[in-house]
Amino acid sequence: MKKTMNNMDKNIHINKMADDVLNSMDHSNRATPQPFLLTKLHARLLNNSEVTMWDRISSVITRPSVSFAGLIFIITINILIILFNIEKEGNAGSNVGIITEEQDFSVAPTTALYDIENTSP
Amino acid sequence: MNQHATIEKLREGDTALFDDVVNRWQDMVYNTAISIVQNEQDAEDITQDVFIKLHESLASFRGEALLSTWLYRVTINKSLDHEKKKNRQKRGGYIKSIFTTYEGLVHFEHPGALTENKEKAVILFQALKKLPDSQRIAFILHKIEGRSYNEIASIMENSLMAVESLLARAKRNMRKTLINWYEKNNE
Repeated sequence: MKKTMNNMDKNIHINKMADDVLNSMDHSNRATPQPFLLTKLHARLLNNSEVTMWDRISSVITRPSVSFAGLIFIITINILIILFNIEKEGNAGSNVGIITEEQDFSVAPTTALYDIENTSP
Repeated sequence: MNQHATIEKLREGDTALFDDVVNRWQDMVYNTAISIVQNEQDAEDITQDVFIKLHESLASFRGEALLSTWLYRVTINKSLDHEKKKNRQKRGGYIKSIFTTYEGLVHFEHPGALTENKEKAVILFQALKKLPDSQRIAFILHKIEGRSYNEIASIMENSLMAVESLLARAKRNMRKTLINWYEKNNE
């Protein structure tokens, strides 16, 4: 019986302590920042306003993700141009062949200005 | 001057008024930030960030909420972001948080606590760290900032019922944590 009473007292005491802690910030004052917050703020705003367009662009470009993506883009463009040129050269070569064969089997009259074998006036 | 008129004047570039706004609300912003992050230097940085954000956002400020409500929201978001960033920076922060005992938490004395309540306030802030973010914010706004349920609902963009429920759960969880701690320490 005595032990139960002790436990009850203990519980009441603990509950009271928990309540005291929960209410410990009632009627407290607001914490205040260090002096000269406004001065520091003005300094930061001034620094922010001095950032030019070039600063912004360079800060974006120098980001690792952006520069890496840019590098990949440039390499891809180069590979595409090279492949396109190789294909173009291949096509040009085959055209030359066709033209030569056409000329070989051509029966069209020559268009030379001076036909030296023709003696007639 | 009401808050809508203040915003209009600020938009027009009234720098003297901006200084007045900072002077008027810096304690509110700082007190909220320090109660969340529990570090004076971090709270100071957050306070500056909040007013810089205000300066930058004046043109796009729609005036749907009161300036004080907007400042509370920005302060809370910045403080929680700051906290998450700091936790990420700590190597193995998550694993550590699982195994951290109640006694292992950082000792923080709120500068605004009354002298006779300083020790209890230290325990309060340790227990606060154990609460989920929404409950913690509701508790801080109500108990430390002294905001009404309606104001908290507006700041947290929640219904009145939701705020009542959040606060009830916050108090119940805090009480449970504190009772456990006292039982453990009085054995």
